[in-house]
Amino acid sequence: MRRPGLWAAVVFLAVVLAWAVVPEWFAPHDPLAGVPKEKLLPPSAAHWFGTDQLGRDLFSRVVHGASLSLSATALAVAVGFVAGTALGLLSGYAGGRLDEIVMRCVDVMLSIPGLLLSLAVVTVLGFGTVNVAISVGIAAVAGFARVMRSDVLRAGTQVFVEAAGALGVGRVRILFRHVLPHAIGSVLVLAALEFGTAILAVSSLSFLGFGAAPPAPEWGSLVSEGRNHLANAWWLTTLPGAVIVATMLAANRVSRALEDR
Amino acid sequence: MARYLARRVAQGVFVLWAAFTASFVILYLLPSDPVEIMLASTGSMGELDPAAVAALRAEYHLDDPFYVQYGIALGRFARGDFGTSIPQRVPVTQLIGEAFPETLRLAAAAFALALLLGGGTALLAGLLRGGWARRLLLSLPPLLVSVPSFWAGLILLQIFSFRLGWFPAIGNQGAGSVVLPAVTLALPTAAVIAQVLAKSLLSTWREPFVVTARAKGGSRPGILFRDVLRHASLPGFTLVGMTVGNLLAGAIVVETVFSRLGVGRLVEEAVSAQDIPMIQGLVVLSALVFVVVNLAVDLVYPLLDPRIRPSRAVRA
Repeated sequence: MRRPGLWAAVVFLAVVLAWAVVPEWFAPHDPLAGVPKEKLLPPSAAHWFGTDQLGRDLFSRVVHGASLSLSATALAVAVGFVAGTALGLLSGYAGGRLDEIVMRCVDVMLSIPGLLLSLAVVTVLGFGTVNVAISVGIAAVAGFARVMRSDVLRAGTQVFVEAAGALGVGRVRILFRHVLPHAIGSVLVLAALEFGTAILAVSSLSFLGFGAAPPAPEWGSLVSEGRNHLANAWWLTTLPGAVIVATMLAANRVSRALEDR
Repeated sequence: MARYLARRVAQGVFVLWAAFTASFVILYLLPSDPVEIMLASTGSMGELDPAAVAALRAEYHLDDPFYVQYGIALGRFARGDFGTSIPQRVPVTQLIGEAFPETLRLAAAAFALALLLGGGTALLAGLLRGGWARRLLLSLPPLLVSVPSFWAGLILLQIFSFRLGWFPAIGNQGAGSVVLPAVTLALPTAAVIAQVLAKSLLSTWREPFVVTARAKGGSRPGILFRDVLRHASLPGFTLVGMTVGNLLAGAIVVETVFSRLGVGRLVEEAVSAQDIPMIQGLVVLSALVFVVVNLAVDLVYPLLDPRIRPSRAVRA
């Protein structure tokens, strides 16, 4: 227990993860059914985060929103990881003309801001949480591909890879048995770091209104719904946003610890 | 020098072409019907007017094979024509041209503020020899990176517009209206600048020339500002390109939060209306900004650091 900050981050992430898996254990009220008489109440012992304009308990909505927000984030990282790693592996191992073409495409993708790229993709795919997650993942592909490629190039020059080639091991087998295990490490670290970025991107897109449709609670859209009551109900935007910030901080803290190892 | 410039401009044109092509592939060739998206978004839900569909399909040559579509689009692109915005029926370039100065003003203010805040934080931390104050100062930037700008903007709005009434909450009117959006936009960029500069200051502090200066009895602030800062700010300068991209992306959220007119707001509106020509114009615009800024950075760099000469880089 020499690093209290790290442990706090791990515990917080565990709690948020539990919210996502079994929200009914943590949410004191129904996230969708409101009590009209109790609308726009400030935070209190009965309603930790206060209530919204329909009298719904905000804390329950945040707890139930964890599942949508976190699964969208996980899907985004998975899309970026799988597609980017595959592209980087192919590019680094094939080399030559193909490598050149893939890397020029990666350069172009990196020259467009990630949020704008995600928005362009979401325009075509249509709105919704899954499409937002895919579009955030696509914006991350280039970064993964570049890191994976450089690791594959480095692993490819190692003696044991040359030895395997000299022994007559097939190219595909060398790629998956010898090159991949040595190259995957830094991509995994990148995936951990990407979590914080993806939480931010997913919540920004749903804040802009391209994510979950209104009654469903999602962290970014909760903040966005609260905008109409900025002047008289500070808690509606402040508290769900604070949960997003805390989750990002915790995710970044944990991934930095992974990186240091 | 002229050859270097020509080569760099050619590279820039290539990036623009590639960004145009990439956005064309994403927007027009993915398995979805652009015309249906465009018409569905203009409100003619349910029954689509066959005549309107046919007219739009003809306008965008969607019934032709993709290489014909691409060739026509590329020809228009070369002439600077990005088509018309679907819901507004106005040329894309005109809408962008009207909005761009607003965003430029916002981004310039945010950039200046970010330099001031980020540079100030790193320099203050550099002045402190150690201890809790320095640790506190250096823990701020990673914290700021984790704050979504839509949230920071809403908090600033609540405090400074609704509680204190110092600044207008929305709009582009007057100098006061740019303050809160600029602060919101500057915060994440300031955090990046502070982190990079602090790291660079720390490593420069161990360089032999600094050791010499200290041995000669220079004071800590004197060495920091006279010797270390000049040396350490060079790596930060290459970040400018990335920073401008971040400001542009940040403007999408910030202009929406503060209901300001600008390019970022155009992006948000274009995505809401699924206005494909508009999106493509905006993607190419961001690539253009990226190219111009990076070219400017590379041209100015040799003036700051005489060890780097562009002509030598070309031969290498």
